[in-house]
Amino acid sequence: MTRTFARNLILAVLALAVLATAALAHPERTTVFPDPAPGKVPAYRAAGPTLVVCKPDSLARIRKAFAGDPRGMRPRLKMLRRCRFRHIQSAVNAAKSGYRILVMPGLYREEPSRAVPVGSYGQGPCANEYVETEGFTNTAPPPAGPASNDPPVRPNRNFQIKCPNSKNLIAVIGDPRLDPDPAKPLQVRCLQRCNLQISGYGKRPSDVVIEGDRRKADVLRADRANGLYLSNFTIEQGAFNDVDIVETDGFRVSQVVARYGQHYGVLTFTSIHGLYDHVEAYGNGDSGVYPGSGAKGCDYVNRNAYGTCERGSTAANPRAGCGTFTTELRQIDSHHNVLGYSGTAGNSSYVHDSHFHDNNAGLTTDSFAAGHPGMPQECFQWEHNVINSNNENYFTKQRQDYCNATPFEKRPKEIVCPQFQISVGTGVLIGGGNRNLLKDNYIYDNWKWGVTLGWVAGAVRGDNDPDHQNDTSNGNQFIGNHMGMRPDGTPDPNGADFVWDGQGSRNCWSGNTSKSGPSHQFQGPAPGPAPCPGSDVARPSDPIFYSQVAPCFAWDPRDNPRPVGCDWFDTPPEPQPS
Amino acid sequence: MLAAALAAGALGAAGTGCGGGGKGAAAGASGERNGSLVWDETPVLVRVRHIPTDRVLIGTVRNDSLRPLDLKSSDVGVRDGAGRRLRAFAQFAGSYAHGLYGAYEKPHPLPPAEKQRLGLIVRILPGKTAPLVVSYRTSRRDRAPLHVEWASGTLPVPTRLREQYG
Repeated sequence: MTRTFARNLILAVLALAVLATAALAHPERTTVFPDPAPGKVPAYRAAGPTLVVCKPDSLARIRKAFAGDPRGMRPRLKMLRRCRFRHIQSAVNAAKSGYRILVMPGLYREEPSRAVPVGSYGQGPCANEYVETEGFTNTAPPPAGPASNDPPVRPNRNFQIKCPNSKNLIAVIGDPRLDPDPAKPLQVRCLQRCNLQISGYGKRPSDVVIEGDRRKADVLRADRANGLYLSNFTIEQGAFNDVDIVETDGFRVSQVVARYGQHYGVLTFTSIHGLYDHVEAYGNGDSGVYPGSGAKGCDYVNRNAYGTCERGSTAANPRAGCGTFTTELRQIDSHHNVLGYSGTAGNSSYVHDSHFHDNNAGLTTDSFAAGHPGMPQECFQWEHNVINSNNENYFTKQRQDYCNATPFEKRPKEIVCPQFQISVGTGVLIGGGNRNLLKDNYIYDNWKWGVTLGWVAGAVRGDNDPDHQNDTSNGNQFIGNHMGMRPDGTPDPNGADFVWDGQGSRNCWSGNTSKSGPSHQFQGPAPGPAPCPGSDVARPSDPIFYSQVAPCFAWDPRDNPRPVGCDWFDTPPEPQPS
Repeated sequence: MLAAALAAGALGAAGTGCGGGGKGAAAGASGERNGSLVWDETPVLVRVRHIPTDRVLIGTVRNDSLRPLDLKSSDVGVRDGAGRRLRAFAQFAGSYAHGLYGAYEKPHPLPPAEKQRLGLIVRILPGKTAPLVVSYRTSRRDRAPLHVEWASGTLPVPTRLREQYG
């Protein structure tokens, strides 16, 4: 049987390879990983060359925030006298590498940036500085071939250099070299405004608010801005992201509130040596935090080509080849988003001591989208987190009707409109991941699924290599988690503690405890979850599992808000201990 | 059970593109053949636990003709024995996928490469296979037997119904 399966697999995939598809891409421009050797997470600097940004009412805000705290007020008043900028972007433009930018309490709307038209492909500014993402060449076979007059293009790196505030309210551009061929960007380097520190100088993040205009994609974009340190402010209402850090070696986002983004609160992409800490993210239509396309912590020859951390992996220690973590998240409080955390190709992330709650789903990571460097996903370690009560439902008919009728620019900022379909009531979903470790977390009161593991074929991410079709859902470990109970031990069941499609090798579950009750502990094919160490024998995916997810692909808020066969968008009944 | 699982594995391997690996012997598993597209093995039919009217049909189809077949998932539907078309959605995909674009930012229509990746279009070479999943909604008015229909033929829907977990 195994030989038959293997033969079918190979034949199927070889046939796939025969038909070359068009170039793959992503809504982000083509990006590459920085060289991992030189960088590190930047440290906070309390001194050094400093530029100060303030508003006319900063003085009053300081006096109010630090009333009764003369030790806190005194340095702010002193620094306020050095204020030379009214807009953060102006200070960024004046900054050199290693500068600090201190932002005094106030509301920052960045009016000069707002005045720059957003533009689009073929229309200024920078009308032609776009790169094709996918399908522009219209190479699909008839009869379903070319028809689109709406080319899927994205601003290239030259766009960000020449027109930094067209799509970003604040842009920190570290590499000013224009790409001779934007489709083949120059090697990542930071040549200006590196090691910049942008810090709110209030008492708490709410004292400095950076407000997006709901039209520009990013409120703050850092592009090849190595060593960037962001801290102590609130940032909101990005038309795509509140904070977007791309191709950056070394960054820290600390004591930041990221809220009301149409898609993401804090997003990092093809970046390395990163730290998110004390971040609160809420009200975002996709994810509160997104460390996606993370650099892998293991060594392989070409980071921008296919590669895995499998070398050295065994059933007893599937993570032996994982290497170091490349992005750390700690003390995160992500709630009331569609997803608390997500990360396509979110590799080598270390997420700990954080709280993901009251989202539609808590955390997801996956290998099911094209154009994300670092596929397939692998080597996260998530431990000592609390993942609970992810039963918010932004997919109700009333909400979807409203979202369809009201463009983002016109919605009240507090209204979350889902940008991505997910099963309401999910704690953790791993859609095609390898060598991940979920350990010692409290996972409870997620009414549909506590933790779900499912396979994703390589072709789904646009990889038709025959050897890559079964390269996900292997070597994942679920150890010592506390399921269906609160940290004080009170039972609070999940709909099902663990769900597994049965696919893959070396996946294992050991030492987990549950108060969800016997009928809520596992969903999936027999024989069920394997104790650690897992088996080296690969097993196929169960079609019953696939039937629970496949129909939901069809979700489209405009054309198909309630797909046939999909039960993800009805809040599940609250499970009772049984 | 095992056969079904293997079938799922095979269709998963084919991913969202065009498949291969036709086994021949399983063609028209129900003994029925209509058009150049046949089931490579008997597909699995699943009742949706929380929506009892809804079904999900998961299988692998093979191009039994001598010419490449270019198919659009939007041309694939389900019709009952009286000829009434049921509400349905089809996709040539073997495992879950999602699109590149935000819900309100999709280009219309999607670029062909994206359609191909997501299994909304497929080219199946002669003798080769592709995964096919069809979800549909039944009602009391439906007359047996049900068929999956595509642009140039039909495929039988099995009667054996399996249940989701839970």
